Amino acid sequence: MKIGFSVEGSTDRALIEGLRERWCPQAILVEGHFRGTTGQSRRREIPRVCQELQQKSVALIIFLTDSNGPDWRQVQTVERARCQPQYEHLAIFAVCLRNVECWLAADPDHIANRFGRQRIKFTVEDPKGEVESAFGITRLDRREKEIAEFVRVAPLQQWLRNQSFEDFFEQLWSKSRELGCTIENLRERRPP
Amino acid sequence: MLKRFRVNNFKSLLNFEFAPLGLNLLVGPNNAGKTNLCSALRFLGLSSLTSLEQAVFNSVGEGWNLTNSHVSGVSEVEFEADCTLAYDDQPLEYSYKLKLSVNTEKVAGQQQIEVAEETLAVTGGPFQHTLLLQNRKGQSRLLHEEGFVQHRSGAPYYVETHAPGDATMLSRLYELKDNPRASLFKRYLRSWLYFNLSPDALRSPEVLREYAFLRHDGANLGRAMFALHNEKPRLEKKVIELLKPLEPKLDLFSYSSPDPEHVYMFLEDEKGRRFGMRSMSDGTLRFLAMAYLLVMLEETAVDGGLRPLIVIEEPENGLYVGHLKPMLQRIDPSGSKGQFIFTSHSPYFVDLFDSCIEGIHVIKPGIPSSVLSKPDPAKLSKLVEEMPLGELHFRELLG
Repeated sequence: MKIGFSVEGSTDRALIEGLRERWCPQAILVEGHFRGTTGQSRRREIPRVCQELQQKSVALIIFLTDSNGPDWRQVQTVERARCQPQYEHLAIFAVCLRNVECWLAADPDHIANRFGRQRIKFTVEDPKGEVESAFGITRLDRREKEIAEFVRVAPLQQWLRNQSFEDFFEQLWSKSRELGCTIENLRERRPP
Repeated sequence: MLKRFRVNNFKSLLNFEFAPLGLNLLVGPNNAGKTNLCSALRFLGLSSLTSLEQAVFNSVGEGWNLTNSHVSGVSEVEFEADCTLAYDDQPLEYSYKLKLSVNTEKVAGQQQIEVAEETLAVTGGPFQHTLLLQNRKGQSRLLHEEGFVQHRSGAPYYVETHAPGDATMLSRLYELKDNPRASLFKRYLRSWLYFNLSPDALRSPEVLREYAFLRHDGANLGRAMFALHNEKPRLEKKVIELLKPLEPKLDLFSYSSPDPEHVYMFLEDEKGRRFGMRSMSDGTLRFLAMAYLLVMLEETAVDGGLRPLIVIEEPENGLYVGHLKPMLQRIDPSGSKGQFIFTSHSPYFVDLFDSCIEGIHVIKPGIPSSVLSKPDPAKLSKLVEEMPLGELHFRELLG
C-alpha cells in the first residue's frame, strides 16, 4: 500500500514516518511536492498534490500542518475547503494545535524521561524550543530518524489528551477500517 | 552584517543602492545587471586583500569597460558599504567609502585605476561617526583606537602615513593592537565569498594552496574535503549526511594523494566500490560544494567567527528541482551563520523565497543604469495565495 502525505517541515515528515513504522510497516510513503515552503503555499497546492498523489496510486493522503495558534479547527476547515470533491475520499487533514512539537510533548513525562529533562519544560503552551533542543535539532541536522523512532515507541494513548491529535487519530482509524487494515486502537487504553 | 551597499559608475550600475537581508535573491532577465552587482561586491571584498588591479581581474575578469559606458566624462567609481559588526560583544556600525579614479585613456586595453579617497567610520560605544581610517590620494591617517577610547575628552589621535595608489589602505592595514576595530572590518570584507561553481573546476584534483578552502569556481574541493577528513571528520560526516538524499549509495569519501599537488576524491558505497569524481553528476558536485560550505559556515559560527557575505550564482544549475528546497532550508534566513545572496533564473528556486519575500530583489535592465526594484510584500502575499512566486516571476509580476 502507498500512503501519500504532504508536510511543510522535517519534523512533520519524521512524525509521519514514525507512525508508518509503528502502524503500517509494509506501507510505502510517497511525499507530495508543493512549490514554495510556507503553509500558505502548501495550502494553495492542495489540489495539485491530490492530483499528483492520485496519479501515483496512493490509498490515502495525509495533509499535516501546524495551526500556529489555538484555533486548529478553523485551520482544518480552511484546508478542507481547498480539497476538490473528487479527492475528498482520499484525504485526511491533520492540524496540530500550534505545532507538531505540541504532539511530541503531549506526554510530558515520557519526553522528559527520555531526554533527562525537567517535565515542567514540556508543559508550557508552546514547547517547540524545548523539544528541538531535546532532540538536538539544528538547521543542518534535522534529526528525522531520531524523531521517527521516538514516535514509533511513544505511549501514544497519552497523546489523545491533545484534541488535535485525537482528531487525527479518529480520521486515521476510520480510514484504516475503510481500507481493510487495522491500526493500533489507542482508545482501548485511553487515559482517564 | 551588510546593511547597505552602494555602487556608482561600475559597469551597468549607476548610483545603485542595495539593502540586503540575511537571505537574498537577485532575479531579473539576462543582462539586467545581477552579475555586475555580484562583481561589485566581490571587487570590494577583494580590494581589502589584493591590489586594485588584481581585484578587478578576479572580480570582473577584464580591465576594460569598468565604468558605465553610457556616461562620458565621469572618471570615478564609488563603493559604499554600511554594516554592523560586533566588537567585544558590542555592536558597531561601520561605514566604508571607497572612491577610485579611473583613467579613461586605456593603457594596453586596460583602464588604470587608483584610490582617490577612502574612509572608514564607526559609530557605537564611544564612537560617533569617528573616522578610523582616511586615505586621500595616498595621504593617510589611522586612528589610534585604544588611545581614543582611553582619552575620550581629547581630540582623536591619528597616525599619519602614506598609502599606495594601486591598493586600498585597508588592504595594507596590519593586525595591530592600535587599530583592532579597523582590522575587524578588514577581516569582515576579506571573509566575503563569491561562487559560480563549475563542474570542471569541482572535479579538478589540483591542490590550490593559496585558497583556504574553495576557489570561486569550486576548484580545490578535493583538497578541502581531504583536509576535513583528516582534521575534522565529524564535519565530513555532516557533509555526507547532507549529500545522501542525492547519492543514496554514498557511504564515505576516500582520498588518494599521489603527490602534494593533487588530491583525488572517491565516493565509496557500502560494499567498498569506489567511484571517481567523474562518476558524480554536475548537480551532485555543486550540491556537495554547497553542503561543504554550509557545514563550514556553521562551524565558523560556532567558533564565534564573523558572519561572511556569501554570493552564489545560479545554485540550481544541474540540480533536480526537488533538491533545492532541502538545500535552502539549511540556511538561516536571519543571517546568523552568514548572509547569503543568490542569483537565479529558476522559477522553482524563486518559489522558495515565499517565507522571506523581503529578501527578493528584482534587477531590471536599463539605460544608462540597471534598476533595482523591491516587490511589495503585502501585494505579493496575496498573489501567492493563487500562484507560486516563480510563476509570478515568469509573468513579470514580482516588481
